Amino acid sequence: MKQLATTPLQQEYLRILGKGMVTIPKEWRDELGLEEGKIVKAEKVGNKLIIEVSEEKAPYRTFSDTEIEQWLEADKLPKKLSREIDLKLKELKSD
Amino acid sequence: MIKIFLDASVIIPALLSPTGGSAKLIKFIKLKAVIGITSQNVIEEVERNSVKIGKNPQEIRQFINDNLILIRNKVTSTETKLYKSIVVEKDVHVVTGARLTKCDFLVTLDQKHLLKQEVVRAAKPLKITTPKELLTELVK
Repeated sequence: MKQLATTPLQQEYLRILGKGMVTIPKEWRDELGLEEGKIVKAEKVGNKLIIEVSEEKAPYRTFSDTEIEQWLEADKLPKKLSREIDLKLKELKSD
Repeated sequence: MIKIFLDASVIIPALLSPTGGSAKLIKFIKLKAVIGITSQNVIEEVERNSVKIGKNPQEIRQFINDNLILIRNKVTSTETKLYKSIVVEKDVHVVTGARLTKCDFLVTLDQKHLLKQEVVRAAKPLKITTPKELLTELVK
């Protein structure tokens, strides 16, 4: 990916389409990894509109021994269901 | 084919207990009967507990690869913003990962945070379920 910081100010004139949509130039999309469905931060500062690509990692959890033990307990299967699952898996394997 | 998202509460028991529901569900993924997806964030959660569960990060990655579980790249804070109202901050990456990968089910054993009625209701159309419940459907 090209680093925008090493290049001079990049400007484009964009036409506003229906419902306020604009097309971000393909080269910029490729440089910034902007794919369809990706969420970006939009900020209105005076008469400027800033679209920011954030890669900040979402926070996540660590687990206690008790939690892991509880999962293992909850993960146990009744014998009948376990047998049915094994039969189904056997069928799938032979397909 | 149905798509399921696995969180750490399913991957850890699958690594530890081959006879449990999580391990059996992952066999369905390996046999390509369902598509199994997780995220880089979930893998990091599992790896953070590698000492506790007695598996090194390499074994964990090997398990994910061997069982054909697809890994979505890191869910970012920006991406989680749309789902923050559904679940507490530390679990929002799980719901976000499942929604962004367009999974039908989020499979979890986390009763405390994800299997709560209000979360299950708010996450719809994503269905939050346990391995046991999903396996019961799969064998029907």
